[in-house]
Amino acid sequence: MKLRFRIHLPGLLFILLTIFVGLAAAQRPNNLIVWSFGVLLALILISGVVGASMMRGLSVRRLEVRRAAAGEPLEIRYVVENESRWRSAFAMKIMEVDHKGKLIRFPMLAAPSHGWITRIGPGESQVCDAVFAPSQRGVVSLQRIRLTTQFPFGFNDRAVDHKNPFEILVQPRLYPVRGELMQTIALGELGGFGTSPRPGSGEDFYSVREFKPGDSIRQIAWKRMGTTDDLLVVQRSLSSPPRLRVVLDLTTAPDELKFKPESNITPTEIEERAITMAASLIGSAEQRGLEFGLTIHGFDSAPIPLRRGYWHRERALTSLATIDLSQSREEFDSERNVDEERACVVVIHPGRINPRNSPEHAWHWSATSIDQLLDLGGGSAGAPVSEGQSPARGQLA
Amino acid sequence: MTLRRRFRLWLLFLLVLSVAAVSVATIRLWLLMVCGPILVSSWYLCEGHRPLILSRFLVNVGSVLTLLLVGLSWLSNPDPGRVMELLGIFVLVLIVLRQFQDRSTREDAQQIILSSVLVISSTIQSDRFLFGIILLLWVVNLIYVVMLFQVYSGARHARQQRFDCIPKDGIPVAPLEIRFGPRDLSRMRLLAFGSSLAILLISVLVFILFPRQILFRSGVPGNRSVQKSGFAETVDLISSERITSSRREVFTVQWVDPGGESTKWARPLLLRGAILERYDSAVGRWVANKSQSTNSLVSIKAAPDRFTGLGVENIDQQIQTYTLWFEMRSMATDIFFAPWVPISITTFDPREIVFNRANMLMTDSGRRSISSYGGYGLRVQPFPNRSSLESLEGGAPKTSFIPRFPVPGIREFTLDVLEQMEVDPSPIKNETIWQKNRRVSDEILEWLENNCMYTTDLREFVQIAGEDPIESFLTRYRFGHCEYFASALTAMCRSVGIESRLVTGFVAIEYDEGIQRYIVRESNAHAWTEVRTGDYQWTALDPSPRSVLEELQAANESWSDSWRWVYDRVDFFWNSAIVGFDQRSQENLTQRFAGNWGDSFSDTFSSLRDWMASVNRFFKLGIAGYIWMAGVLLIFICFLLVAISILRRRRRLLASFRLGSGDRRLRRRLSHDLLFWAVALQRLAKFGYAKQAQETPLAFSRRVVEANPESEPTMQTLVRQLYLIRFGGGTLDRNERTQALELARKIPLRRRSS
Repeated sequence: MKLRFRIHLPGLLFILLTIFVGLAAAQRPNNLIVWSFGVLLALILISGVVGASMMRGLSVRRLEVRRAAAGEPLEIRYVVENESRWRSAFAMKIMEVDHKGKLIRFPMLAAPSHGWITRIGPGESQVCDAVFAPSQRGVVSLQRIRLTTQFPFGFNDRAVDHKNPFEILVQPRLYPVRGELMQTIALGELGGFGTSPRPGSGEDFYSVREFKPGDSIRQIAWKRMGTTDDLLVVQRSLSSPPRLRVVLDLTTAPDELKFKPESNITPTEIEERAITMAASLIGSAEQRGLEFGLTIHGFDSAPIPLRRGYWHRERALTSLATIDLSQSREEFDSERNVDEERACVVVIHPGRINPRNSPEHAWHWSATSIDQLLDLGGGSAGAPVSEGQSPARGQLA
Repeated sequence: MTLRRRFRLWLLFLLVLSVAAVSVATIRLWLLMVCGPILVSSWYLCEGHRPLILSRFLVNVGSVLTLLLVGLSWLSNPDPGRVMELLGIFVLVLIVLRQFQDRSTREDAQQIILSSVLVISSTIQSDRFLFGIILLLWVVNLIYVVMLFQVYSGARHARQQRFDCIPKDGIPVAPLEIRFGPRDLSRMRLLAFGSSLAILLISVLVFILFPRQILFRSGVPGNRSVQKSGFAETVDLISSERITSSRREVFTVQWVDPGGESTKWARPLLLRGAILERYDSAVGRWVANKSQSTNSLVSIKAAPDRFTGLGVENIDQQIQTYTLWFEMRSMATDIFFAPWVPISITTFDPREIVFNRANMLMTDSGRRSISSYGGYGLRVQPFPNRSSLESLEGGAPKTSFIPRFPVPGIREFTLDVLEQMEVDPSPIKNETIWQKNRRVSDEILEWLENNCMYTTDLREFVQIAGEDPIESFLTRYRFGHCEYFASALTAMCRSVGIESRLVTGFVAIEYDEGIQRYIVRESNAHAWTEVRTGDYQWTALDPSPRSVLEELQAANESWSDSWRWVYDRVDFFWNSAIVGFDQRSQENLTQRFAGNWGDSFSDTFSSLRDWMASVNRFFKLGIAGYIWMAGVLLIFICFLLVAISILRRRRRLLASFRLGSGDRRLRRRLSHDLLFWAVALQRLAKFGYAKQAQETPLAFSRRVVEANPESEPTMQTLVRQLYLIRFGGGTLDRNERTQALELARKIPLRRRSS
């Protein structure tokens, strides 16, 4: 931790003014100008002393980031502690800098804001947050946190960098799937609701068992009681939602991708689109209560089995977020074939559709037609799907 | 009150102070009377819920128009001395206009800068006491306002940045909440107060140490302070700006008769300050001759009752010798004002006086600072005999000569006047030249009193190009103030061959019966004439009508006069200690401090040595006694250091357990029993394992053990004991306490890599 001083323009102008007044004081026999010169000098001195003493005893660390997704505001929370016994610290900025001490400005964290603390008293700790707007999925690597202030007079910046390496996984951006496409997929040939061989809250009969305290009286199997003295209750089977397997085909190397040339679009971008489509499909499936799984071809990643729920979605999206498109691609792995599952399969291709290695009943989507399949700008002005929102509602009716 | 409103309110106060500063500096009260209420009204008009603000276009147009007007004003009179004044007016208008517009933080900062420019430009123009007070207030307020601004603008910037970083169609985030409550405010005020104090101390230090030239010119009568009192060593009849109606007390004079009684003299006391013998008709100005051939140096030792004679030989003090005691109220000057004829002088401080034997004026030699000048005493003889005058002038009488006055037309005019009055300008019968001088000058004086009107209002006294102002006064206007009367009398006397000279100084006319003293104010600055009426004798003739002077004096009196001395005292200190602080003052200060410190150090050292010697004598230890004493002192210092260290450790321990204001007995017990934990924390911190405030001791010990597995048993024991004592009500006996301390000192640790 090293205290850095940086004089900026107002400070420089103030120093020039001080020199000017000093020269005037030397030239004119006016003691008030001499005193003014003393005040200006003292302001510079006190500014440095107060600012530097404020920075002593301050420490900062990041709190764990729960979730980050492209296109959604990312709030990073910091805990600032003032270990000083007497001094308060005022007007503190907290910002992320790289290992060279420069403010991070790369595409993943476009337009960063900084944390702000108006005052932190002696012995206090305060939590503040900074908001970022990650624009791409991937891993954001944070190196250092900078505590900086211009207090009390704004002549110079005093900054202390605290080493705190940290990585944030930014998930792909989610868009709602267009129109009735999701419903069509969900209720397609191999989709639709079924029963699973487990007891649950469905409607179909599963078995009978002995009554336990707490069972509803409505569940008692009255007819069976005629043949036996035991009190039995009816168990229903668990209903099974439609299943969806999303297959992301990234086996083709970017330079071999075939797609209709558009303006200023690169193969990597078209692959990113494919990842976005996969993520959006998973997001919409989770919104509709479907069971979904994810298979990524082209990279060494295990297929994610068919499950449902928020945490399963997070797992799938994390898997998509960690794809490193710069790695070399693997050939199609037949062991990961999903023919055995009774699920609707949607294969997403970055470029031209190649159904060669896919199941016969699979849907094939191409990333080039993303605007036809996903609602990129509709709904709530193109707002991505996120927690607490149901953008699919109304659009997928 | 929100942070924004608080900042804006204090900014407004800062702006009003800067306007007050500029109006005091330029002595234009109307600036404050006009701009002050306008600025204050901006608070009610622009800071409410429905603000009435000026558009930026109007403000810009107003600024450009002001700039044009100021530029035209400068072009009409391109005097470099007006640059700061015009800059001040432009900045003032700019401040007022911008106060009525919707301002961003950047524009708020610009208002602060404009206020600073206004005040700094005023500082160049003024060094008055009132201005100094306003400047001090402004500086303190500036410090607070800038601190508020830093917090306010930083918070606003952070909020705006947070708003901007989210796309407009993106998911909104909660805006940044700015917390700035009363506790924060009080802390900031405390910091601002402390900073102000430190800044003032440093600025005073810079003020004292700043290298300066000598402001008070050595041996030359008249200085800046004198100029401020209404008195001047020149009389300028063309631009007569220094006639003042100020009621500020300059000094008081006690007139003690030969019997020792304080009394009022039958006539106003004319206290001489400068003799103006030469008239420059080209510029209409009376100036003094700079001849120093008749100067002699008089040294005075500080003893108020011990007078030092000014004569070459002893003067008989039995001849109507009166004593005058001068007490300076608001002026630090190197001139000793005195009536005709001073024969001896005393001062309250040791001084060196230059006594001009030709005109009997006294000035300070300039070898010592006059910042501590408190007053002086004089013995005078209103009617001196020849021997007294001979002794004072110290030689043969000055030869008489027939003077001429350089303005044509005055002689003819005077002769006409004398002819009308049937006065013969040449000696008649056995009349000596001195008697003739007295007779003719008295006649001219009478004519002036009867035919000219005394007034200080010279608005209708228009200077005619090519016409001398004295001629204008005599032939055209016949009204004016004392300088015109005295100039006219001097000029008329000289034109008919009478030796005469113009004298400036003060007239003591206001006598306070309560304190039995004359009170001399700035408005009592006066000019009169002296006519030579003997070999050594000069007679003072005051052509200004006494009745009019007394009427003016009475008309200017007000209830505040009785309290004015309080302000004047402070003002005097301001002028002598602040405005007049120069190289000589620096030298005096250095000598005083060096002397005091050196003396006090040597006194302390010698008393310590005596005490040690007496102790040694008492115990009869000889030289070994000193070694014993040194040993005892060393032990005492060690004991003190250990005690401080223990106290600090205990305080730290209590602070770590948040026991600052708990039960006293509990605190005492815990500070003893948990000393091992403080030692352990200190050792751990030394090895790079500082305990975080939010960490529990258990969590902290786990963290330490994770990095140092070998420390597990020790840490477990220590933490168990800690919880037992702190929360389980347990205590440790002496042995256990020692063991715990030993454990704490020997925690096996590896230094943590950074």
